Amino acid sequence: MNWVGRSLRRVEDPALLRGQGRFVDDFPHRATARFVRSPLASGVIEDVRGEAFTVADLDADGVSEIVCELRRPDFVKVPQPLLARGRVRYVGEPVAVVVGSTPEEAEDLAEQVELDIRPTQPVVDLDSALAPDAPLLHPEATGGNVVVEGSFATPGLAEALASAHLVVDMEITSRRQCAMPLEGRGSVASTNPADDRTTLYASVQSPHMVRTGICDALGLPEVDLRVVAPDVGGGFGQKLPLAREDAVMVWLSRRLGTSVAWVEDRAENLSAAWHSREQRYRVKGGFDDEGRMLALEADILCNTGAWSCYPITWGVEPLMALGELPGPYRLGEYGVRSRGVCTNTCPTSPYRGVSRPVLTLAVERLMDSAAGRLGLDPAEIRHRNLPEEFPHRSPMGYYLDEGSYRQSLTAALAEMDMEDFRRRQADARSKGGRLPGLGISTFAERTGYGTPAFAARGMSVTVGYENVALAMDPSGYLTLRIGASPHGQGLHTALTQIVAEEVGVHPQRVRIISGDTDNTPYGWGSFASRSAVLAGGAAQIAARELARKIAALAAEEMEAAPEDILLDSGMATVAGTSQGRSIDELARIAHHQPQRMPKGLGPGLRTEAGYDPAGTFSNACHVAEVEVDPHTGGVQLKRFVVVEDAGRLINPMIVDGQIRGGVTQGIANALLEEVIYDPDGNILTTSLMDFLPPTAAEIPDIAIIHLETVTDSSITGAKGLGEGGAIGAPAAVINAVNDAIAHLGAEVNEMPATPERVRAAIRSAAAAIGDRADAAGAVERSEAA
Amino acid sequence: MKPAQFSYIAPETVEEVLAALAEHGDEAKVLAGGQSLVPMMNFRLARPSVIVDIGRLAADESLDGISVDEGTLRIGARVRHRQLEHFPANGLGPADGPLGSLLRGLARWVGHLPIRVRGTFGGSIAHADPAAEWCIMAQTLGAEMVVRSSTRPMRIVAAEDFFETVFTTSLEPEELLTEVRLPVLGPDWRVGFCEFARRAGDFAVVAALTALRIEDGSIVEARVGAGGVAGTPVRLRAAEAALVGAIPTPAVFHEAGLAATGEVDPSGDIHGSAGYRRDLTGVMVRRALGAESIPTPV
Amino acid sequence: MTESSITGLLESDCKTRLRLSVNGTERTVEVEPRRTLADALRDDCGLTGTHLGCEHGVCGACTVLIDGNPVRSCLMFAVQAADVDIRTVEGMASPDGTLNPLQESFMRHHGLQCGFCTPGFLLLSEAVLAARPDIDDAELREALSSNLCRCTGYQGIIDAVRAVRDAV
Repeated sequence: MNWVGRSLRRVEDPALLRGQGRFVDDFPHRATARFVRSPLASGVIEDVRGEAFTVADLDADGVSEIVCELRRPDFVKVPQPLLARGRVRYVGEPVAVVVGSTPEEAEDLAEQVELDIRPTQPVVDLDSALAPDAPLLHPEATGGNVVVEGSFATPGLAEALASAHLVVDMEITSRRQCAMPLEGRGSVASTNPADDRTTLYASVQSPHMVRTGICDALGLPEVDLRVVAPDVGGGFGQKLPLAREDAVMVWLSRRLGTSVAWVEDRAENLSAAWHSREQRYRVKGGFDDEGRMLALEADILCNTGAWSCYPITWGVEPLMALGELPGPYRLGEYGVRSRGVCTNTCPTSPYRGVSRPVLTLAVERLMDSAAGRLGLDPAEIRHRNLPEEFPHRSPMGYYLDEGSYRQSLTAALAEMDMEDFRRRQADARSKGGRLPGLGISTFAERTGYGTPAFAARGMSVTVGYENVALAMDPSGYLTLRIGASPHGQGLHTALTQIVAEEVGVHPQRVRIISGDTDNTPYGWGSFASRSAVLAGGAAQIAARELARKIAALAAEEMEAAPEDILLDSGMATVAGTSQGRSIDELARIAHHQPQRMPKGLGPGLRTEAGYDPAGTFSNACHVAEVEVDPHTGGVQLKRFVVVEDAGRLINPMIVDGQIRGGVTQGIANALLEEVIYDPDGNILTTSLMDFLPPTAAEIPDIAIIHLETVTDSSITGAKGLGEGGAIGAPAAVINAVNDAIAHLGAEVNEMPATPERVRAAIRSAAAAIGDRADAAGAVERSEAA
Repeated sequence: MKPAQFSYIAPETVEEVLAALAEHGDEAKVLAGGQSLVPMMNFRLARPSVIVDIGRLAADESLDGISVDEGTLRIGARVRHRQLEHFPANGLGPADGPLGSLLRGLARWVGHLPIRVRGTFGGSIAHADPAAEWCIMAQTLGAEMVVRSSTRPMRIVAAEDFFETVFTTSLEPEELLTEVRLPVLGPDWRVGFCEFARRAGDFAVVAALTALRIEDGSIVEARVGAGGVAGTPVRLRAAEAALVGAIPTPAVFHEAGLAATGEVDPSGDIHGSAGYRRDLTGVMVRRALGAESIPTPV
Repeated sequence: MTESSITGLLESDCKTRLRLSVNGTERTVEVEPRRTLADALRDDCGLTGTHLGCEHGVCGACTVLIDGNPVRSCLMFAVQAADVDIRTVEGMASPDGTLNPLQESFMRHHGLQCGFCTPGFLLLSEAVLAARPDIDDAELREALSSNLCRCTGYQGIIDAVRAVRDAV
């Protein structure tokens, strides 16, 4: 029976649907903590008055800082105290913590704490942080506020640019984003006086890594801390790094000898959880007269915020941008400088796609712009630049395994019916009113990478591999314990399918245990589009080994050759005969009649496995159709098509859910969501009326077509795709907006492309033409008619 | 994000409400649907020490009714948005007409369904968000607010005197808004509305409401108002002047839009700069004037 | 005191005993006036299926039914809910655990991922379909725009509700 490849219903769903999910805030606790946070972006802490714990209390207990680094000379390593010491560096930085008996009381107590902070000059945006006389955020950063600076160039870059037929030079900006899982961060810590062990229920993506980080800071052996990630209400990267607050909870619980909860509220989440993707790219693309990109040069800046994040570090955005900017395109020459710049803003962490939504936007805008100047169709220029031969070596030396780059583009455009669209567009332009636009985005998504890829970054804590432990119990049911830690993706369901297929039992016989450091092997968690590939790969290895043991036992029992044993539908049968034993019976024998096991196999039925591959590349093409209202600048999504190639699909329903969710966040990045600071570093988007995640009314139905290029870069054949939707969608949407307004001479290279920015682009184009009544006015008159 | 402490009283008669307001003065806040007040309390931006809940008052024709009285429509302050959304066509009899369509149409623009289920018409008016649909309507049509207190005789406040600035009205702390009166619009009126918001259900960046009385093919009376362009909703007199006496054509509406853009002086915020709001005002006014019916959101 | 007593001034720091009718069961809680209905359900009744996502009325994760209408329970105080009929997600499935048609449809159409917004969407959907069994697609999308989901992109949710509508 094949279980892989079927849209089985999720094993995760029934409890969640009944309201029986267990999220952090649902765990009982005696006390509630609340952090007293800095109201200022930059200042010297003169005094903290009131009943609160501060860094002095942590120091008195010998608590140390959170430390992590990239081992490279340009990296600035800054140890981070769990509560602000001496200075505050962003609005929302935790300075003190209070404990009350209820959430209401904790908030009352926090209000009563007086912070005496002497304001100092903040640096908030990239330009002010890079100014020669800019105040330094960290004294360790002796070279200014640049905390990481990577560069790379192929030898022929300058020559290739100089001799190019066309050089397109543009600046691409991404405003600051926030992953904003619907459940904020939070944790409940309780300490058992009997054994002095602490249990931390925490809304995190990576419980083992969180335990390591907390124990290192607190000086605890890891055996004395159990970290459990229960049901987690979304993460998207924001719950990957170690939260200072979670470490403080463990310390508080041990100090107070009680159970204490911290449940982040929405304003805290928007201002003091991790932000992401405040980036600016200056890109120059050199093209020949047929539209082939010969050379790409880029200068990239990422605003990292005030602190590095453990363990990924504040190098993650700038260095990923540096490494992956060329995307899938064939390209001879590449040169790049990419810097991370610290500022008095909330620290940043990976958010679904990390830098790839922005770097894809940069390259896809270059492609469209070059196509426009060369009179080429946007699809044609991509066809001419996408790889045909695999593995394709990128300028940075990544090997892209086989994909369907060109085929996905062709399939997406066929689905969209381009001829029909261009007719409608011409028609709409002649009539006035809303302007249709269509945008394409083709990209590669590096997924499922293990230790080698992370080690190349020089991480002091190198993440990567995944481990699993699989056991069949005497009743013939299976338990798979995994180091990965899903939080909504449906990984449990997918893993039951993989195990069931290998072992020949029904998936309902497989239970998955995750997110508990006491009960799972050490592993890294769920992030970077990796769990299905890595935990899935490890599960397949373990299940195959277990199946081999069952087959060996069956062979022994039936006096057949092990290679003739077939495991299917709960039975072990001898091929070509009617002879068989139920797997249940064999499980019973393995446990209760171990003497009957073949030599060296028993007793019991257990396996362990790890998987640590180099990685693989998924690919996709996204096409968005929009309508731009030229008078308001408002953009409406009309259609969205995704052609995705993530190799072999384990559960197509879950895959489609991942794509649609990712695309939705990408659309939000492209049009709606923006974290905004004023020049003094005050955050202005601390509610969901100011930070604007989309509703069902802003998101169209998303059509999905699958291509399945299976390569041996992933042993299950499955490539990762959790981030792909978010990576490709912004470029498709922004290209579509530009396609809609290009005939007016207007261009938008910033996301989100808010109505005001789109309107301003149309206005300034009209002004540049010299006839203000022209661009906007002509449509206005036609609308009035 | 939990509210600060407050004492709570839920009187059973209007007189008790007024007495409580008189006793507690500006320490007190009236709680009706709570859809604006409670978010502010949860953020601790509002921290009344006494909440006077009018949700337990016995049904009261003045507070809960919708009726027509000699050319005036009376809407009780406690009428919920949802009731107006589902107010039956011709629910006001012959007086329904353009005003009835406007009420039903605008109600759907107020927040989302769960907000409309709880939130009240009077609560929205008293909250005085300058971009709120009902506030724009009250200002544009020249509504009158019926205000009661235990210390003074009932008074009637014209909309232009009622809205003072953002979230601020001329209601005294001891006063309760009980009813809003609107002029019935005869069949010769034509109403329009247009709103631009970033997402479904959000407050408008800018919204405009228009009402034209047309006689023998020309505009004889015009009311144009907008929200999101000042501390209160505003009447746009220059736009009105551009309309009165003219024949309603797209060109005239375009001129009125230009006049509207010229006469507003908004301040900017993260949802729209001053210049953008000014531009949008003209667009919204032009579209409201050209609308065949009140549009639906989404 | 066995009856709810909310007459007269309830002092800010005193707890009032209330009787709440939740999913057809009477529950007695003692709360300060400032305790929201959401917190009372979660912390005082132990019904943690109602989730808090924003506490300012935007996300809808805390949606419950009050006398059949969808309401943000973060924007209501428990003292306001003493004599109404409250329904929460815990009251949707049969006592034996059998999912109701909406729950079943959410599972079939992948209308949930992390599940945090799910209780709010289920109750919102139930109210919408009860009031408008024949609601058209555009109005359904508008009605469902009341709540936020961060995982699904909404399509699974909309498909799930549509399927229940069409099955009736």
